[in-house]
Amino acid sequence: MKKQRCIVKIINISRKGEVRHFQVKVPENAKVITGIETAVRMKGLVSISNNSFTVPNIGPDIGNPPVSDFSPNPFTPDFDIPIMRSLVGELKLQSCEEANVFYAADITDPSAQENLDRIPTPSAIIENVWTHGYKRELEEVLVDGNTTVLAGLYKDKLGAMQNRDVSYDVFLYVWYKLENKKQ
Amino acid sequence: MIKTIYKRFDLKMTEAAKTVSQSFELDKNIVAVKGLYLTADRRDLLYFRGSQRIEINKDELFPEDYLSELLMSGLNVPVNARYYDLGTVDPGNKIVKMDFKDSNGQFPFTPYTVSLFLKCDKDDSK
Repeated sequence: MKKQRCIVKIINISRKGEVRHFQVKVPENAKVITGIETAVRMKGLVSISNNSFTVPNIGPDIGNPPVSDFSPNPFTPDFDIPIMRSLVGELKLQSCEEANVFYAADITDPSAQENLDRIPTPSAIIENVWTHGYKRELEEVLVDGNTTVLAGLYKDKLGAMQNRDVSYDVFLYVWYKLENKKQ
Repeated sequence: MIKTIYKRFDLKMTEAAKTVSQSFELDKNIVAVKGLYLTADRRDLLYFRGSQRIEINKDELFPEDYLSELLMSGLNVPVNARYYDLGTVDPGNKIVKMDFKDSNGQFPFTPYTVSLFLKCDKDDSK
């Protein structure tokens, strides 16, 4: 059985280009840090003026595209943010017991749908991240769990690119294995 | 003989920004839980509003605020790869507990039903 536990750290961002320093406390019974997961959740409602929209022309010209009220499509101008870029920010983590950063990544928002397969479908199933999204995978790392804290730095890119304040939460999940004796 | 079976448990969200806790009981001949998959009748709401804590046999597998989107798989994922691999979890007292939290987010709330699927090993001789 996998004896793994997860630490959750939520980083709130509300200003453009905001830089946040934070610490993640590692429990005493952590033996080794095995993985990192990240996610982003935007704050505030996206206003949808109506549920009817036109299917975007994503393939060969098939004449008039069908109209559906199946679900809202972020590529239509019905949203407050007509163009969503997937890059949201930059995250770096360092163990306090060791030199150098052990994890550095661009935090992206999959709901921007930049990497979905755009296969033309004859029906009204629109490609959205919640219908066609890939399975999210843990990013594996191997860091000694004897460290007491992880030091982290997050830098906003989304607000800086759009030149306005954007409010969102970054979720950081640190997976670790438990010390055998203290299970 | 060990057989793989799939169990489905539903949880209804009827109010916005609430946490609903529900316990589900596994069959007594289930000897291991191997995988987990989360979906809903409104997958957009689950994706943008949901998070949950899940424990099996009082052993926390996913902590509070673990976003639902991390346990979802879409149509682009091969059918046999859609489940989150749990390794082999001992079902112990056969109780699966889920604390599902709905948070105000990008999509306005309407009632929806969250479905938790478990991939289990069943021992027919028990």
